[in-house]
Parts: sequence; C-alpha cells; structure tokens
Amino acid sequence: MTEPDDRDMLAAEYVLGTLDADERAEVSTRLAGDADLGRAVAAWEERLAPLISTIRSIVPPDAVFEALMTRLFGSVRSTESARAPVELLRRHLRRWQGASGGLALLAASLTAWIALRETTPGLPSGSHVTAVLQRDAGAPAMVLDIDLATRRLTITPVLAAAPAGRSYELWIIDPALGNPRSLGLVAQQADGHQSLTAYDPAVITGATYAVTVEPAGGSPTGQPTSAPILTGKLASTRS
Amino acid sequence: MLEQRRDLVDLMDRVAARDRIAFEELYKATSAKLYGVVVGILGRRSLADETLQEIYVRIWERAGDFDSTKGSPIAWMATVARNRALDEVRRAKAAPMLALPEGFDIAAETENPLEAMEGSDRLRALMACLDQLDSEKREAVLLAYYRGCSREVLSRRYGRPVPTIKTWLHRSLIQLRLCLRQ
Repeated sequence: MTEPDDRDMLAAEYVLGTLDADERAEVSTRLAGDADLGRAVAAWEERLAPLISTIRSIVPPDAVFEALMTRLFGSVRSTESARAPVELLRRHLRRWQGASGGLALLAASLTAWIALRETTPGLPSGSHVTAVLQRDAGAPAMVLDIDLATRRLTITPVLAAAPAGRSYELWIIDPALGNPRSLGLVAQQADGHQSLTAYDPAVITGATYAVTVEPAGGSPTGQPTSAPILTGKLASTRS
Repeated sequence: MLEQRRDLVDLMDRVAARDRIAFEELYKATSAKLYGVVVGILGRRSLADETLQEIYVRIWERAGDFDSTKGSPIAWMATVARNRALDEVRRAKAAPMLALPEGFDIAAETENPLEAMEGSDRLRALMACLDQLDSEKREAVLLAYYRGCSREVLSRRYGRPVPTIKTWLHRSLIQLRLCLRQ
C-alpha cells in the first residue's frame, strides 16, 4: 500500500496530466477498485476544474459532428427517433463482422461501453443482462451475457486471439468485493461459461467487468498484472 | 451562468435516457469548449478531430455516470476530454514540445480571462494560489494542464532532469493544496 501522500501525488499528477502512458494506465486500472485513490483523483479534479473556464473555445469542423452522428446513429439527420440500443448493437456487430483485420486496435487501451438490458427491468427470474465490452462504439470485442436466475455468465469473444503465450482474463470489480476477482480465462473458440453463484445479484449487476492480457494460463498472482484492455458495466437503458 | 448550468444538467439527464435530440443540443452547447481542451493538448487538428469524436461517443455512452451533486456537467465533460486527449498524446508520443510557445502567459492562452473569472470565486482563489508559485513552476503546472506536457517534455523544456521536474511538480501541487484549503 502506498502512503497517503504518495497516493495523493499520483492522483494529482494523473489529473494534471504529467504521468507517462504506463503510469496513466496503472492509475486507470487502480481506479476501478481503489476508492481512496478515486476520492483523491476527484478532489484534484475539483481543485483544478476552475481552469476549464479559462480555456479558449474553438469551434470544431462540421465534419466532426457529421461523423459522430453517422457513427452513433447511422445518419446525420435526427428525423428518425433514436434507435433502440439492441438495434444499434446488431448494426455494430454486423459492421464489425464485415470489416477485416479490424481488431489491431486491441493494442491500444480501453474503455468505452454499450450496455443494455434485453428483458424487463423487473428481475429476477428469467432475466438476462448483456454487456458489450469494447474499445469504441464501432467495434464490439466481447459480449457478456448473464442469466440472473441461474447466475450463469457466458462470454463470447469477438476479437482476435490473444498474443502468443498470453491469455485474456476476465475480472469482476466491485467495492463490495475488495480486490478484483478473477472470473477465469476467456476461451477463444467456443463460448465460455462461468458461474457467478458466489456473487450477489446486486454485485453482478453493479460491478465493473474488465479484461486484461495475462501470461498464458492466467495471472500468477490472482490479481490483474496489466491495465485492462476492455472494461464494461451492465446497465439498464431507460426506454 | 447558473441558468446555463441547469440547462446542461437537464440535457445530461436526457442524454442518459438516450435522447438523441438532447445529445445534439449538448454537442452544440459544449463542443467548442471541449475542442479547445483537445486542440490545446494534441495540437494536430486531424488527431484532435478524431479524438473529439471519441470523446462524444464516450459522453453518449456514459452520461448516466454524471452526478450533478458532484460537479458541473462541463467539468465532467472536460475531464472526459482531458483524459482521452492525454491518453492519446501519450500513446502517439506526439511532441507538443515543438508547438510550445517560448513564454507561457495565461492571458494569451485564454480568450477572455477576466470574463471567465467573473462570478467565479473558485477560479479567483485558484489563480491567487498559482500566483504564489515561482514563475517557472507555475508555468510548468499550467503547461501540463493546458498542453498535456509530461515530465519528460517539461524536463527538456527546462533543461532539468526528470526527477527534478517531479520534485517541482510535487512541491507545487502540495503548495496548491495547502493554499486552496485556506
């Protein structure tokens, strides 16, 4: 454990922006499970936030808006109502499946997510929640499906095989659990199943899920040894 | 100002509920500020354009994480933007050094600092605390904030070893923290 002052300086430099890529990735990983560090980062964000008002505004090119709308909604015009997330996901999946060699992006680090609840928000019996762990909205990389009644988790990788001699390992991260808990390796071929019976439904639905690249066979320490390449949360979408 | 903030909070709520129209309004209201943040750090417009798009994808997806009791929408969005731009600049190993001005004057950085300061006691307090730092150290802190300069970049700029820069930064940040507590 670092001393409080070391932690506060790490948080301060993270917010200020002076850390190198590895240190930034380390902080990002720790933030998922280290509440003290999270509070320190939030405090520094708040201290420095007034500077935002001094930053000069620059109007971005229209092309950015157009590309954004096309990417998120498939069209620039908003005449049609926003698409249901499931529909969006299907389109993203199709687009990804149609693209070749698309997943070199795994070399880059993490985090954006789409998550959705496909059945009634009433829970629990027969309820499935699905999350897509991915790096950006156009490129789903792993689909998590959890049957809340049986607490059975299915993970379907839609990404390139792990680098030679390495494995993808899935983690569940929640303050209630303390450190990240391994949910095992992500199988490359068939869908992998994991049981979540050890976890409360509230933890399952509230937790962050993360995938790291580990030595073949999984982390030797029982804890992630690298920054996550993917993270995601299960969340409902109000409809 | 408060009016505007409440409008943005409403927009964020609607964006969290997947309201596309609200998202478009949010983009129109905030993209110039966030683009300013991103261009400051990344310099290159083409990279900044791509990154701004990524930032708004993330805002669309994570709007539900925004908590209006913990800060303003623009502060939350700027944090998303800065983090993304910083990750990008570190990954690209881009050299913002080349684009750095010789001197660094906050008045030249900002469109209208006096206007920005109006009505913001917190900004005034922060500026007063920054003023108490040695000028070189204050400049280093501001270069890091506005330009995303890493310790290595600052080390080259000031001709000091990286550990010295780290010590500068830590002393400055601790001094700021103490000053802001008063």
